[in-house]
Amino acid sequence: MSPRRIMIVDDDESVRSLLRMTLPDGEYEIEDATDGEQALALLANHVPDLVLLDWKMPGRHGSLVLDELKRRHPQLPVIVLTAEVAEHHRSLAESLKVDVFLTKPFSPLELLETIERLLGERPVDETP
Amino acid sequence: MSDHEPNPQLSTLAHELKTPLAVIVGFAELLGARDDERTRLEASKRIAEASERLRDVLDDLLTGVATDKNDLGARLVDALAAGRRARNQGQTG
Repeated sequence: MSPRRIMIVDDDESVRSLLRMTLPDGEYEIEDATDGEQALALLANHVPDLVLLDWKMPGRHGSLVLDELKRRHPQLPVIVLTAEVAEHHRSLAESLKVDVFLTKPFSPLELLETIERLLGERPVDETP
Repeated sequence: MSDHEPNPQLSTLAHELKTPLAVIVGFAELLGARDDERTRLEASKRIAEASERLRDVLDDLLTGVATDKNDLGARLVDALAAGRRARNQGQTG
């Protein structure tokens, strides 16, 4: 099976490193974006199998990026990772059709299980 | 302010505290689950960096509390005690 493509969108380099290390070598191809603009620009070139999306970022807020991702590719699974504590944010993300909304700190191993579950729900060669 | 309304200050505080905490907790879990050199090297470096970052944030917060004239320290201690009580009740309930 060819590696699944994961896009990581987070302005924090240490969090991007944690997410990269969470995904086993050889099973995933990882593409990093440091903000929403970069993520959407990358998306214009090719579509990943799943997106890990930070919520509070400089520039375009995660909610705006999520909205745009789902407009362009409604079937593309998106996991939001956030430090926000107010329930408002979860409600907003759910209204924008987020697949999974996780709060920091999170368990990398549970995140990996969630990623595998979401990817398992879609055929390998399906174009989002 | 209700829980349904975004609070920019609380959002920034949560981000400053929880981002390095997520790095520490996350890499600690990976260290326990994987036994390879790459994970060990990256985790030790990132945990050290995040710990320093978290210490700086806490130092700044404590300095702010120490100079606050509105008894912020007492209210924070009350909030911490309430949180501990809630967690203890959750464990025994």
